[in-house]
Amino acid sequence: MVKETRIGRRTPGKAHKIIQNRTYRIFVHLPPGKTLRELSEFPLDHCCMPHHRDEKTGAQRLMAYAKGAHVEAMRTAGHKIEVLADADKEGKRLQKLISKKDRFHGGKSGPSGVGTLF
Amino acid sequence: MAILMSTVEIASALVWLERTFPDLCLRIELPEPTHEKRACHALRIAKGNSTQRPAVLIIAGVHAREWGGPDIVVNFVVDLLKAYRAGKGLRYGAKSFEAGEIRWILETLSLVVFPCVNPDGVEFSHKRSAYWRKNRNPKSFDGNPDSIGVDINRNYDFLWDFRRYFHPEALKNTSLASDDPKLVTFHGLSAFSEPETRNVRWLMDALPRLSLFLDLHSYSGSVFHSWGDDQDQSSDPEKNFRNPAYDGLRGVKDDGYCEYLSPPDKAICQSVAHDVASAMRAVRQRPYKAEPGYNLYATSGTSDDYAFSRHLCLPGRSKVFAYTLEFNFASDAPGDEPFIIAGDPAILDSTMRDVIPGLMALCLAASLTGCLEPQRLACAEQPTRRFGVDPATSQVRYVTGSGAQHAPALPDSHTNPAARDLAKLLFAFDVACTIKSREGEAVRASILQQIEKIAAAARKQHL
Repeated sequence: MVKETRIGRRTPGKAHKIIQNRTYRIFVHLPPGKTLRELSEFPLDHCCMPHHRDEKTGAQRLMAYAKGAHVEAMRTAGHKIEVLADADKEGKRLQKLISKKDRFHGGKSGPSGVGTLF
Repeated sequence: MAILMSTVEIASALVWLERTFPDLCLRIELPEPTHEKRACHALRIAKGNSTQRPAVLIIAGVHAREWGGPDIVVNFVVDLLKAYRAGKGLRYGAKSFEAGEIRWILETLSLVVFPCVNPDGVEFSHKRSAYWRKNRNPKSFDGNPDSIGVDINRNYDFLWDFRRYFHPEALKNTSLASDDPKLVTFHGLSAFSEPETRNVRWLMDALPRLSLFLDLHSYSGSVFHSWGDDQDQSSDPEKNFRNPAYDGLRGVKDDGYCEYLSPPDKAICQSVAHDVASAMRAVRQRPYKAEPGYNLYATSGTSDDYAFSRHLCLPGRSKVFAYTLEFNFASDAPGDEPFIIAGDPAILDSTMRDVIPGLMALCLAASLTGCLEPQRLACAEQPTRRFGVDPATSQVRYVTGSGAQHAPALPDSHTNPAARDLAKLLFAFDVACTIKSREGEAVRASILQQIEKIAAAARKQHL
């Protein structure tokens, strides 16, 4: 028997403890025939995020950001919401990696570029 | 390994570039500081006097949370200038640019970059709320912290008053724009209400020969070209954003309204976007694609539609082919937050290597827009064009609706006359392929004949 790898075992809808005022990255699953209009009452942030539409079934999957309170409200309203990650937690982790000082000392030095000269 | 630059470092990098390459760079202080009183700077890059040259404008750092845009633009300039000074070419993965191409960019164009349009928002995203998108305008603040700020890329004067111009169905998707300050697409209290958008407009006004514009965003792995308000069409010039008869009908897919884009303009829009996407794909086969902006969703008040619409609304303005490049891709892996993943040094490094070739390709594609030809500098829209080949001079010419005659674009830097003529004819052939009638067939046959003639003459001369 092939042992399932961690990567291949991503579990849709894995139970995240939802905290009301935290931001989550979610998938909104829209069944065939339903459109984003169904969600217009919720402040869903899905700008610059691509939508996936299954051409065969017409079902849509939309990545978005939403506060915990809205995740719960959407679920209560009967929408299928899959929580992918605690976006706030990821935000804090990545913010720590940003430069905290001026490495270029007001213009005495600068970035080195990334291309290879030939 | 690259570490994401803070807003202070972005500003310092521009100072350093001007000091290090004083003969190639000019730092420009933009007229308006931000709401939090930050000064904004752009950089003009050119060898020699560039005031009369065709210009390319690249902006980034518009949506605060789309990390990596300013780093890409600054490192693009660093690479370009280092290569030019060394007389060398540049390589990014499997994509390379010859020294001659780098020289062409510096010596033919006036390249202007504005790497961080929204420093207030970027600073807030770096230090406080990572997913902040808007600027930090406090005018609409009502006690809810989300009511601060305006979405800069919904604040330009292109169908800004979305409730008037768009179909009620389209309004239900708040990605279009919003008049609710709490939402991430709040479009402001009026078009150009924000200093950030006014700074971009100022740059466009200051570049009378502006030909190409690109706004760097993330993340859908696409190079978007005109239009963004609705699907495009090339058959009915009456269906256009200026026609009030269609107010209230825009933004819905597969209905009666589509935005007019003339066949030659559509050909150029697509071919430039294709060049940019191909260059990025070539680095390591990431699936960047070229497509119309509307494919993502309908939008109002965006920079690219505003830039392209200027020549139709403002007399004497050059035609600007305008693009939104969305770098990186969605991932459903926990922890791969697509907007801010460029905060990870390894991801930032690979993202820069992927995207900089696209910016190089954009500059090189300036030749496709016809901007190198003097008479096309301040062209009015010409929805009906008739092509023909003048038998006396072998010149391909087109006649506009007003009866004026023009030669098509001179899109290349070839020094050999035969190569130059062939390039012109091939470009004209490309355009003629968009004419579906019998007239198109005749033009194509005539162009092919001319190509054969020039090829025969060249063969005689060189073999």
